[in-house]
This record gives sequence, structure tokens and C-alpha cells, in this order.
Amino acid sequence: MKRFAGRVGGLAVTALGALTCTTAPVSEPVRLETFEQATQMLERTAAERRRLKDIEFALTHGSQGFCGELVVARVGGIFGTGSSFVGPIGQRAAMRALDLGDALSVVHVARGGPLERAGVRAGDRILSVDGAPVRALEDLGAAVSAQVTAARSEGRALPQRFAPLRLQLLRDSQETSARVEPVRACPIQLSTATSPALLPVATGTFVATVPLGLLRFMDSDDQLASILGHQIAHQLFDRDGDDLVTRESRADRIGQIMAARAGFDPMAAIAAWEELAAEVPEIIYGGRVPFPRSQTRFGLFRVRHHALAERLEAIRSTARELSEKLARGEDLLP
Amino acid sequence: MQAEADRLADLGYARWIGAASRVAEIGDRLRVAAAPWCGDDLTPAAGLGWTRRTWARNIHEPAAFRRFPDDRVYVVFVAPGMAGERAGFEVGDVLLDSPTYELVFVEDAQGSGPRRVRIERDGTELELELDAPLGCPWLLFMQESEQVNAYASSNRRGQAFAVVNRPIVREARTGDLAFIIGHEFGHLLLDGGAVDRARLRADREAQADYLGAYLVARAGYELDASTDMLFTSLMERDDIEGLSLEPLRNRSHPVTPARTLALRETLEEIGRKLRAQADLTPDGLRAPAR
Repeated sequence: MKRFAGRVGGLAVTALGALTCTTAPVSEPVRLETFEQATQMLERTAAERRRLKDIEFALTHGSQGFCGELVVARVGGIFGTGSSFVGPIGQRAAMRALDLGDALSVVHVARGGPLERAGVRAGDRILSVDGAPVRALEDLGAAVSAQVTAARSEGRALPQRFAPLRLQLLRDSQETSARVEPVRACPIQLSTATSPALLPVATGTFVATVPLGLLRFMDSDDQLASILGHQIAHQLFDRDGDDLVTRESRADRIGQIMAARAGFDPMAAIAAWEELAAEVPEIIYGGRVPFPRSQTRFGLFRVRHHALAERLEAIRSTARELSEKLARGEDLLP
Repeated sequence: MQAEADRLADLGYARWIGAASRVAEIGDRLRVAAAPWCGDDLTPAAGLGWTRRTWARNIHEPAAFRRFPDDRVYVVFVAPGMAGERAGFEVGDVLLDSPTYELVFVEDAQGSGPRRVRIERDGTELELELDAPLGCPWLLFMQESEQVNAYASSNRRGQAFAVVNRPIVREARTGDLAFIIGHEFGHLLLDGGAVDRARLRADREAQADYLGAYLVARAGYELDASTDMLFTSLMERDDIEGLSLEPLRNRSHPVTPARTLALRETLEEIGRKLRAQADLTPDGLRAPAR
């Protein structure tokens, strides 16, 4: 029983899932323990999503120049309401762990994003946008996208800068307001999955799913950003008919540029791919098994395409090139 | 370019061996901790890891064929402070008489006491005297998988074994990993008939938790993080249905609030015994067979 809420800045905490409760009589200690577990789990999962949201915002905003007419407006945040969670225990746990209320709440403010610049904080309740009441995530999403939607429907080019939105907020029982100026971003969203796998996968045209295994495996945001940039580049640029080598090397290079433009260390890409190769040797061979057990052992392997070794040469040289450009203060867009 | 591909593949194989070695060491320590309840059928726990190139997973075969010149059994891991290290084993030694997963000795010694192991080192045959503590005769394997899982079973010959999937090894801290392996060994104790089930909680998983926690404590691993690991890895972490008040039938390791409550009680019980320096014997286990 899962519900996925809207699209403002990507993830909503409702994607965390829903608690189910039975009506069978349960002892008080078990009820408390359930509540405790739910709270801990929500806290842990939310921490992982916050980290991913920061990287997602940096990558998609930093790489807007790649997206042309695809760009969307983003404010950089995670939002949710207590009622997104089913069952009394789930709702109470969500309210405690994520500081959610009945109103739409700010769960996370992306680092360096419009919400952060406007002084919005996690825990704020969003009462209205430009005077229109906000009851659900969709209301906020529509307000953030309004300028893009209007320009598209009228066939106009997007404005260079979006007009600010006035958010009426409730903070510590006091009403306050904030002027939030949405920014351009590539439309990709990064969602999480419980899988312990290490490779992100496309789960929609503009949605990439990042397994928790990868988030836990990569301590360094710089390294993680280069892998995620690669995935985003795949989803933006892969075309039917491209061969594997073209796809991978293009995704490597554009992903590296995206990560560097987003402020991540370009040199981290090298270690990131070596680390992944050590844990998932399949990528060394471009996803192919080197040879079947039953066949002649070495002859077949030697002629195979050793994808990652070739790619790493290019990844290293791109990393050096980007580092030098950054040092000279040059623009990184190709 | 071939050299670079080889380097990456070698690194991946070394990682695999490192992870499996970590499992092997914990397994040996836990087997010894469980020994009092396994009767006389015990095997030495030397803290050694060994492999041969044809055991390598398909994807690792090129690296395994580079690392090992022939298809004999090579020592790849010597746990610090354990019997294998004291006996003088080194990484790279060839185990001449042990073509399988079990260590084979020069003569079939009975009970504890030193045994001789025939090895080859730098082309010379040697005999090392291994004085290893005895443990339950269980095998333990690490399996590549994209699932967070571990299980215990026995093969057609009645050989009991446990398997832990690699993502757990990758993500778990040592105490947590020991608890997960201990839990599986708990199942093996239950299956082996050493346990008076009537004196334990009804739920099989809770029973295995109870015994596993004791094995972990007896082996000297830290226990306090174990419950956290249960939440994060044994269950599908996003799947909050796992927190429902009813155990789900289709899950091999349903983590129910009742189960974690029970585990917490077990940890408190063990903590009390540790503070009182009392014997760490779980309730419900029959008196040592020997």
C-alpha cells in the first residue's frame, strides 16, 4: 500500500510508504515498539532522501544548460503531510520523525536552493502560495510550475528568471512569509529504492531510481554525484540506435561535466568508477560475462570488449580537463 | 588497456575474497561459541580462508586464473590472533590435502589437540601443527546477490550450512554481521535438536535471534547495534508494512515489533550475565554433551 505524492522538486515523503495496522488487540508494549520502529525507520530513510535531494538539486539545476526546452522550475525541497501516512501509528510516527502536520510541511530544504535562499526551514508549514491556499503537494507543485506551463501553452520562450512566489508559512505557531524564486533545472528526478544494489536505473523517462545500497556504499557526495550525473546523462541523451560504447562514453563525459558544474570535485569520478568496478565487476566488461564456464577459458575473453578500462582512460582525462578549467575559472559547458 | 582491465578485475576479486574472509572469521568464532551444544561432531576453527580458482564466480574467473597458477587449494586469508596464524599459516600456502571446503588433516585426530596439516610453500612441502579450538561442523558461504538475505539449511548429505548474501557483508558493521550469522547458526542449533523448544518463545525467528545473540556474546562481538541492523537490513527497509502488527507470511525474516522487543530482552539478559560474570548459557539449551 504505497502512495506517491506529486512532483515539487521530485520526491515527496509520502513515497516512504504507508503503515498498515490491524484491528487485532495488541499489547501496549508492542504498540509502543511499533511506533518506535516506525519513527526510527522514517528518520533513517529521510536522512538518505535528504542527502539525495541535495545532490539531485545541485545536479539538475547545475546542468540546466543541457536540457534546452525540457527545463522545469524547481524550488529544491521535500514536502509532506501527516495524512500521507496510513494508520494512526504511521501518522504519529511521521509527525514525530519528520515533523509533519496536517498542513503541507517542509521536510527538507535543498542545499543552495531557492527555498534555502529565501530562508524557508524544515518544519515550516506552507499555508498559501501567492494568496492561494495550499492543501496538498499538488497545489504547491502547480504554483511552482505555473510560469513554465503558461509559457509553454502560449508558445513563448521561458523567462530567463522566474517571478518569485510568495509563500505564507507557519513557523513555531507564528505566521511568516518568504519570497521564493524558482530556478531552472533539468527535469530528472532521483528516487530511492530499498534494493541493496549498487547501480542506479531508469524507472521512467525522467525518473532514475537510486538503490539504497549505492547511497550507503558511497560515503563521498562527490563520488556519488559523478555516478548519478552519468545516469542523468543517459536519460537525457540516450537515443535508440546508439551503440553501447557511444552511450557510455557520452554519459560519462556529460555526467562528469554536470557534477563539476554542480560544484562537486571532478577528480572524484575516477575513484567512484574504480570503487564500483571493484564491487560490481560486471561493469568492467560492459555488463557482459567474460566467458561461459563451459567454453575455452582465455581465448574468448581476450577478444571481449573491456568497457570500463577504456572508459576510465577517458574519465581520467575529462576529470583533469575539468579540474584545470575550474582552476582557470572557465565555463564547463561544452 | 588489457592491463587496466586486468587491474580492475583483480581488484574486484580481491574485494570478494576480503568480504568472504570477513565472513569466514566471524563464522569460525561463532562455531566455537556454539560448540558446547553440537555434541562430539566438531571441526577445528582455525580462522583460515582458502579457495581455488575453479570455485570463483564466472565474472571473477579471469582474475582467479591470474592469481592462482593451478587449480589447487590456496590459503587466501589468515585471521589475526586465531589458531591458523599461531600455527604459521601464510597467505599463498597450498593446502595439499583439502580439496573441499573442509580442512583435512594428515591423520584423523580425535577430539581437540594439535593436528598436522600438509601444505606447500614456495615449492617446498611442509607440515604445520594446528592447535585450533573445535566448533560446530557447519559450513558458511557468502553468496553474490542483490537481495538482503541470509539463510541456513543442510545439503543432501546432511551437512549443515549457512549462507549470507554479499550486500549484508558490504553494509553491516562487524557486530551486526556477527548477529545475522549467529541468527542463522541459531537455526542450525534448533534444527540439530540441541534445543528444548518448549522453553523458548514460540516464534522460530525469535528463537534463532535468542540463540544467535548468545553466540555473538560468547564470541566476544559487540551486540548493542544488532537491533538496528535488524531494522535496516533484514527487512525491506522502505517497506513499512514490515512494521505491521502481524507477521507477514511471505517473508522469511519478518521483523515484527514483538520480535525486536524479545531481542531487546535477550540483550538485557545477556548484559546482566556479563556484568555478573556469569556463564553465558542460553535457557533451553541442553547441558553440554561432552
